[in-house]
Amino acid sequence: MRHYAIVCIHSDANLLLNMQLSLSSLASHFHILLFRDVQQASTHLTKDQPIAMLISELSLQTQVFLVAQTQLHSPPKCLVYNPNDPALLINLINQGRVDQVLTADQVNLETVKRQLSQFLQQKDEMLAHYADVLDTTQLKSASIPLQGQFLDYSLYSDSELSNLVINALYKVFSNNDEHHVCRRYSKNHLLTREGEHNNALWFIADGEVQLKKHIAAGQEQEVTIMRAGSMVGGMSFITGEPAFTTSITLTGTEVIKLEKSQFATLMKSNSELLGPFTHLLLRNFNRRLQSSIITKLKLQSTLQSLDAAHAQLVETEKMAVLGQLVAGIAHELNNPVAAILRGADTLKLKVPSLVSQEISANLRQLGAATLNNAMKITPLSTAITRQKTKAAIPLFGSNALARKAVQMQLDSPEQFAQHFAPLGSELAATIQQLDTYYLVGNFLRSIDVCAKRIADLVKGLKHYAGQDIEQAVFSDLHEGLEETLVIFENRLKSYQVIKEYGELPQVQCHPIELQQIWTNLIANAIDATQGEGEIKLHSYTISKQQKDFVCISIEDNGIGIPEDKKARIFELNYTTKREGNFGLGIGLTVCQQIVKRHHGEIKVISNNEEQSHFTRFEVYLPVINPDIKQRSRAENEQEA
Amino acid sequence: MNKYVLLCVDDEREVLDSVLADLDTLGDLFDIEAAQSVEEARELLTEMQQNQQQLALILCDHMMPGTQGVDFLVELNQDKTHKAAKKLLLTGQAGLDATVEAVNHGGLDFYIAKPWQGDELVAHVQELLTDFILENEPDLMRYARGLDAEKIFSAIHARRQSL
Repeated sequence: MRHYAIVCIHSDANLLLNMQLSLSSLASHFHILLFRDVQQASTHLTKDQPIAMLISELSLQTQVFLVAQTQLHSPPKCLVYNPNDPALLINLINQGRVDQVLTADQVNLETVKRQLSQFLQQKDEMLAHYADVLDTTQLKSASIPLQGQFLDYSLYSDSELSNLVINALYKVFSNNDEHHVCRRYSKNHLLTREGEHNNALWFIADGEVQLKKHIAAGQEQEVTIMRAGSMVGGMSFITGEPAFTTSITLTGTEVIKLEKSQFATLMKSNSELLGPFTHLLLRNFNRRLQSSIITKLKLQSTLQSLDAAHAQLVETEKMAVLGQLVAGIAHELNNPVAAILRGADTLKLKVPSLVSQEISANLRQLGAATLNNAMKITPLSTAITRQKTKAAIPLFGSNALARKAVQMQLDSPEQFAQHFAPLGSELAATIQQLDTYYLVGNFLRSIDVCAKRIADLVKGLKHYAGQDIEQAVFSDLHEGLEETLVIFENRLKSYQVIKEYGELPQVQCHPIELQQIWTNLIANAIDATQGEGEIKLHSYTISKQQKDFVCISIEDNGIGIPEDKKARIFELNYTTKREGNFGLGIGLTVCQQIVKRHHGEIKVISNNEEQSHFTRFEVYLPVINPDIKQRSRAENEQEA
Repeated sequence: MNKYVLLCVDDEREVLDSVLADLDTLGDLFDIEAAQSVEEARELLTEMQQNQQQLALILCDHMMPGTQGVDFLVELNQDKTHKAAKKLLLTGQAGLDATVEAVNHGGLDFYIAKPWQGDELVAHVQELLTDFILENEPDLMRYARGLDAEKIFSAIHARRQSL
């Protein structure tokens, strides 16, 4: 930014001093240079110093200098004191230029400012830079004719433009305010009311007006606060639509209130106002549009982070349930682990004796058959074993021998007659030997069974804790249900789990998300029954609007849900859960969201009467479902 | 038929089979019975009473469908017929509360955690059975082989002295 000079030349030192005082407010933006004569000025002024204004006495001495200066490529404004000799002035006008003749001794600051503004405008200088010291809007309005033609109002800042219009309006009404257009409102004065018609337009000259909007029954939210220079009611005034917001003064407020008829009259009689007013209006609407776009963008990014937070919450809920199950699952693993360890120990002990036994070929054959049998066949229940043992005691003589024979399934009278009757006193030793074969076979089977159980449990856990692939896959829902039951096996020990599975087609779905539904519903059933009871799993197919659906229903015989609470159970922050129950209390909300994503439906049927109390959740899922949105994967991955 | 019965209760068949295999050596002195639930165990006890047999030791899991192990031990302990029986928990998951209950009201004699060592289990069971025999059986001699022989012989000796 160039620093222009205001050059003052006068032989009267007192006058120069006064001039300096008058112009002191401009000193921050201009060099104020004072000279007693032209010679002094010529010596001190360099070519690099641009001059915005000359204020000079007009004499024979200064005349040549002023002519020369005003003939330059970009002449400064030239203000001269009225010379007593008119010839001097005429000479300067004809040879050079005079912008203003000062008549009084005192220099008029307003005049200086106006001239400076014009100069700067011609030079295409940034007026905004001088806004502090020059009243640029006023000077511009004086310099730019307010005609109907399209003008470049972009030169004006927002506040300049609104000041221009407001000042012009005050000027129009200053002598002629019969309709009381310029008024002052006290605090809490209502301008527009949301949803109602509005016939007026307000320009705020001073004070604050709050705009607010209804967001819920009895609740209003502030939209923005309008201050001096703003326009209120513009949109509803122009379009005739009901007011979008309610506006109310927050402080004592100076306004210009224009009703429709007054506005029309005003624009007719002061057509030069139409231009700036239209621009002000457009500027106003543009600002609101811009701010609403910015708000929308901000909201979008907020929504995105909310989505991410939500996905994380759902994941957290899933893991919270898992966490509560872990202790039980560890115990659940403990039983097969114990059986495997014991089995392996017993095998270590028995196998060497099996190999080293010296027995008859017949017995060896029988032993091998017994081992094979024990490996393949699930052992008899303890109750049946006992029953058969009792029957066999007369043959085998003792409870222990009879039981072993029963276990080996060699206890029938025919088998006794064939294998054992001829042995006589050898009976006990032989059964003991055969029992070794049986034990080895049975433990091999038992280790196998237990290892498979552990593998199933681990598989279920891995599956539950994992993520679906992006594409929906065709999946057997019973498999997912069974996997969930395995995870809960420990908790379900004191439950009667009744399965009524129908023939189901493979269902297109995200199976792990569905597993979270089964988990939540079974967890709820366990919570509702407080540790023991009956859980019914029922599955069937059903047609709805010519589309094939499957329904999985999970019913418990717990306390039931009171009628008045049924509607609320899917709400996010509704929970009856106490400590010790499963999850974070958002399980049903999560279920509902997953079902919705699968274009399905979840229903609750419940009765809390004393005689018959139950709760049944029915989950309906379409069989063909190619277009399922997934829980924001990206966020989940980010978080991982 | 033996006079005394050793009863094992566990809902997990594989675990039950392991216990039975471990205790097999005691099968000559005691009838070893197995039940897969407390309900089945109750039926068995009734049957035993009809046969004039007495429960010497119960080895019981805790977490089972239906009645849980600790509750069953409490029940037995309050029953005059079975109060004398030695009571063992063989479990991986009796919480502190359940265990305290078993000690205070179930007359719990021993707690073995799953998974267990076979020889240790047998040793503890033998020890408890020895105590049971010394407390309840007039004819000790029969049990010297198979249980804690030293303890039994010194008891025999002591009884003779007191005569």
